Amino acid sequence: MTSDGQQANEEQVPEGEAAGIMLPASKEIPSEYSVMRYAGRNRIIIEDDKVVGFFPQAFALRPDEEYLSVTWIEYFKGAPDEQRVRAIKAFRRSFPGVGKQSAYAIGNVGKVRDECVARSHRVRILHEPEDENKGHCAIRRFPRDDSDLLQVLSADVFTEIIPNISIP
Amino acid sequence: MSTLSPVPTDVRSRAVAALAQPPALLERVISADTLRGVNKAQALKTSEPPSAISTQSGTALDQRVFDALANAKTFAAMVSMHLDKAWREKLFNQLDDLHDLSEWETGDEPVEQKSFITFLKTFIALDPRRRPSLGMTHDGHILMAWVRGSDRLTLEFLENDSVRWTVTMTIDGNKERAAGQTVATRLTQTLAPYSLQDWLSNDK
Repeated sequence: MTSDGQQANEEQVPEGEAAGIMLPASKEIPSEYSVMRYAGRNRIIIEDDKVVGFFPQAFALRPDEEYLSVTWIEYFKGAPDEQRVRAIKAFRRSFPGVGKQSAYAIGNVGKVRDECVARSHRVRILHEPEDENKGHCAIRRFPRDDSDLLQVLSADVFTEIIPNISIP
Repeated sequence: MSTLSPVPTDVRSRAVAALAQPPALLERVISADTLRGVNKAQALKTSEPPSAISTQSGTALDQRVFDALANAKTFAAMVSMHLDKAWREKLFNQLDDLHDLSEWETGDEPVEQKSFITFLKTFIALDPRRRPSLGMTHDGHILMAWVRGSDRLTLEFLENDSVRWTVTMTIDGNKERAAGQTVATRLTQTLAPYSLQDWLSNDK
């Protein structure tokens, strides 16, 4: 049951994946949780055939994007490793163009928020489930032109990298 | 890996200047061997792409990607004498990789010509011994990165010789970050406080 009184709809969640975490009515993701960002091959740093990081531009909004898309890891049930796998599989369902050489980066919600606020960007990290990815979140009020923020997100916040190819 | 002597500054300058020349002037500034390479690349550019041959009708994206990639390789061929053979092959492979349609994201643009020229000019001027990783923004700007543990230096090449840069590095135990934009000719001075030469010379 969520805080606004809605029953979590397990029937709409493939594989019964929801962990059933309650959120505040605002749908704002609390700081202790983690979110995952996808990047295609062109926005990831590859050295000796190994993914070593994301370019800052992996976090840049496209001109037609109103928010930065991420996936809430703990939305999905299971141990931490299982949650990551479920999150990745949910993302793949929602985004058919996932490339073999792509990757995912995981960052702490509180750190994302802190780094944005430190640069006067009052972002809101909201749970906005999609049909195929119930863990989908939108980072709203995300700035369009802040190289410093993109850098810190890529270098110091989203530091855990999972190559797409490592998840069957 | 081959170890070429550093390219003299005046030779490098001529190569950089060649990138700004109209094609008709190329013969005056590049060698006969290089010109043959340029002509081959040009022929590749104007020939029918394999995708169009196999399907009879390449999509607009296929065509744009093919044209942009061929253009980029043409420009690289113009200055091939300043790129050692191993790196040239790696550069072409990375360019192919960056334009792999099976990895393509909807809305992405192929390499932007002016960005690529800025990239080539910068690369030749810096002459890094340690080869960078390449990437591309959604609007076709070339990206370059060096990573050392948690330290990293990234460059984004814009038009008109502009370069956007970010650096994260630990200095005397303190993490330091900086970001900015400069012109390619000032990059060495701009990044001097962040030991640019160390990033470039630490060959792997």
